[in-house]
Amino acid sequence: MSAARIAALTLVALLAGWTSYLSYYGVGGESRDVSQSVRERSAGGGGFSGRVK
Amino acid sequence: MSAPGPRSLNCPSCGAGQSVFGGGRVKTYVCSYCGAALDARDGFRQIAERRDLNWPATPLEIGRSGRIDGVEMTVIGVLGVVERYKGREWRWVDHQLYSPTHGYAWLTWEEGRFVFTRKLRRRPDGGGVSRHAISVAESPPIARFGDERYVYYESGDHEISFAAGAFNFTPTVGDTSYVVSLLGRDRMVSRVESDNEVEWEISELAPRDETLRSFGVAPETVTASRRGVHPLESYSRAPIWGEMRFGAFALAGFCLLLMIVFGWSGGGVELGAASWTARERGVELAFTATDADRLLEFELEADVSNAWAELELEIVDAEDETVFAVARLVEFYFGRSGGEAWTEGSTVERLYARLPAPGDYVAHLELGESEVWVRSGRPASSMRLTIRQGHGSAWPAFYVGLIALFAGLALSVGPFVHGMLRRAGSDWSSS
Repeated sequence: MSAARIAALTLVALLAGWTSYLSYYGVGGESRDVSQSVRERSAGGGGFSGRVK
Repeated sequence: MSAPGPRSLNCPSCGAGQSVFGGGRVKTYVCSYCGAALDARDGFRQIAERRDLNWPATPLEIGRSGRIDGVEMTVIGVLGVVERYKGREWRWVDHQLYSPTHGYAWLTWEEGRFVFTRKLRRRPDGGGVSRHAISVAESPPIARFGDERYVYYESGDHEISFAAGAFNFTPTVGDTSYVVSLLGRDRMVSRVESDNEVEWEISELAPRDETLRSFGVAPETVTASRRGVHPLESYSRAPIWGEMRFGAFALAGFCLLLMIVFGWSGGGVELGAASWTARERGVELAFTATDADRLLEFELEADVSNAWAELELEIVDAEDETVFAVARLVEFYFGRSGGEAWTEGSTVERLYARLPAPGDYVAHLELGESEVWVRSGRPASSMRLTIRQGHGSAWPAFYVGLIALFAGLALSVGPFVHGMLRRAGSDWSSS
């Protein structure tokens, strides 16, 4: 096997592994409209118009 | 460089002393001074004469030796060849070569390039390539030799315009042969038909400067320049790029597989599910996430029919702190148009989120605004929330695969364009 082929296979294997890792852990897969609310120390309340009791 | 074992000869026609190169199968010797053809097998008896010798331009002369494919070969004869078609003319020089170990061959010099040709012992397999067969063929004829496929490239009548030196046949100025050439990956096979026989030959490009140096000619002294891409010229680039091109397409294919695996919306471990009706304002669903490294899937379902409903989802942690909040529209419409049924939207919405840490959480889901689109529509009457953990995402594979695909295509442009240029000189016409 030539040095060029070894270099190409190594690069492809690294990229395939890295992409598999990102896809497995869902990197960049969060829904765009999911927003992190500001963590406030409040007595209650909640996200929208209150919580269902 | 000196030739191995030449014989000395005084031309019986003009008396010029000269050396005759070549082995025992030399049939004819053409005097380099007066053009008289001498029978090499009958004591060099004169068999034809010619007085007007116009030497074609060539960097190699009779007697020069050099190496081609590692084999020592000597130029023993020079043939000027011309092809004429519709008022145009193409001229080149064929050098008859001789090797004591490998016999006879040809080295053609045309437009600053060398083409090395040997006789084939057996004919290729494949369709007819006679003059008549080509004239009636509707597609370029194909021949097979070994594992390679050769496609018709060109054909024409080749006329001998000059001859000098020793040959393993009897060349006569004015003789013609009909030659059909078929192009393979980096070699060409040719069918040569003369008055009394048909032969097959195989040709390949010989490196110009290396060949010139081998025959004792400094490449800088040869002014004939190369034009365009020769049909036998393979695409030249560093081997790494060919390997990277293959690797890019392989990576793109692997990414497609990843997209299928991780784009599947099903699967994962269900952490909990809850249903409620529109009479209730909403629902709470407590769940325990054990894996915060991967994505959670929140599946929201509402039985809307030609209507839409807004579902509001809030996730809070064990300290009653809001992790995230989102509102999603679930809408589903259907009808008939022009006799065909149609649908739009879905009764299911999915969102994907990542929790800050494993632990206990509570999902609060409420029905917000809801409206029907047509009078026959039905607003949401029942809703369902399902939470699953252990999801991946197809997006990383999509972007990496797309980049890999474009990289592969970019690396293919050069070979593709080169391949087109190689065949640009073909005289095939479908008409």
